[in-house]
Amino acid sequence: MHTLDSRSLSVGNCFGQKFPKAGEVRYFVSAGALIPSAAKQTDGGYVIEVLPASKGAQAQQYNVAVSLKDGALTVSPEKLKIHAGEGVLWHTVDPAVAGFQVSGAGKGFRFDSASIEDDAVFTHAFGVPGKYEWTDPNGSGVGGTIEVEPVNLKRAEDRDRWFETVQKAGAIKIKGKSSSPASVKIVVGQTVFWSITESPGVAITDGRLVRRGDHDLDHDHGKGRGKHKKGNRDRD
Amino acid sequence: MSDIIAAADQTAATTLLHDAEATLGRLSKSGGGSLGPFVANYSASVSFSGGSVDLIPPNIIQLADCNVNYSLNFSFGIDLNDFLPSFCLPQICIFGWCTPKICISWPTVTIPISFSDTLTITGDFTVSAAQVGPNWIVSITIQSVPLLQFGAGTAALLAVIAAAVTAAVVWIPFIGPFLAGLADLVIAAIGIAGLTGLLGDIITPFISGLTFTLPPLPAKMLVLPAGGPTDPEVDVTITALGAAVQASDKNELVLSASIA
Repeated sequence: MHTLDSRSLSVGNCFGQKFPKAGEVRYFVSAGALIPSAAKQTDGGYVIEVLPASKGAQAQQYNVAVSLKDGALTVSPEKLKIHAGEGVLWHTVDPAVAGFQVSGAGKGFRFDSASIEDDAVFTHAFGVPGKYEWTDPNGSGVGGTIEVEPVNLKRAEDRDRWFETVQKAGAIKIKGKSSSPASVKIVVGQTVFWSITESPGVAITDGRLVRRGDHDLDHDHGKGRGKHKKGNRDRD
Repeated sequence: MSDIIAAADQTAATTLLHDAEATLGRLSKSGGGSLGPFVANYSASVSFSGGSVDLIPPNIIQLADCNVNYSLNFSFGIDLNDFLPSFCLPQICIFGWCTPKICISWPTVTIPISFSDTLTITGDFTVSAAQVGPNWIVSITIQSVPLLQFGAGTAALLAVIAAAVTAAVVWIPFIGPFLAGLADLVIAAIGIAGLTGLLGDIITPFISGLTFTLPPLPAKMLVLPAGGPTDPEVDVTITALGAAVQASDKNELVLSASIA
């Protein structure tokens, strides 16, 4: 599986979350959305110890790799100690991972790759050419188009040019219920970053995965007129 | 001295053999074999048609240009890592975030192939007769497997494989840029030798021991039906049956029967 869906992260996807305040954050990695709210769980999962921000130090990013071991999703490293203001980015290089969701909560703070709220990023490397209408299945109304051009490497110079191109990313900003730009044009192998701030809780999903009627697909990019619905998880 | 002699010239023998081909029908088998560096699992069916008979004394029936009509379904697995260069999504930094470098592991894919074609064979057969239950059976059995020449069929099958490889992998993420040469690499790995090797392995068992049988001849034949309670039917029983090609002004397939 290699679908555009922040609710089901696989090889080529990343989800990053910044942690604004000190305290313990417990998070869970699941193959689907049918897990109890992270905020209600006090056992299990993995713990990120967020220390107070260290003055003068440059904020760092910590990467967590998700893989499948004995049929269960595991993470590496299992324990993290970071400082407030720093970010953790989850990804997988394991093709056996069909898809995972990460969600966690601490005191006065929560995050969820299926309902992304603030100071977070979702990335997707596009591996198959085509026109992708991305949307938010949670109904915020944000959405847009990614046009992915095919690449045919016939000569060595084509390959060099392509390798240069895939090192550049497409960029989309979601703030609140608005997103821009409305359309991005890339080639196969390029990655698109969605930066999310002050959002009501969005997911980035290929519109073909969302049943028409689940939300307002007639989005007005940049204006966010779509009616936002509460997600189907217990969001306390 | 035989009691009954029946003879068929080459034209009649050809007709008999075409009937025998039709009676044989379609033969099937399945198994596994090598397709160059790959392992293929196959199911195949074969029928025979056409050809002309040349009678050669003392006991050879040469069947020339007999059509071997075959249909194959086979599949083989390809570990794409053996053919494609490694590819890694580079680290990209934007919005204060950096993605890690992620290397793509190419999957192993199964390539399904369906193919039908006809080849022609020319082979020498021997004729024999044996009593099987209440009947005498005349069998025409191939002596050895003739050279199988797949010819244009091989080129056609290579094209089918190339198309199937492309169709089987086109859905794989990030493969698009590398797709152009993939089919050529797979075809080169299989090679003509690999292909004819597999075809030979599949088709040869159908031809090895190939036997056509003529319509069965009852060992006991009614000559006169019963005329009444005191006039029983009259039968003759074939006690021996010989089959051979005999030289004459036009060579003939001769059946010689002894009766009681």
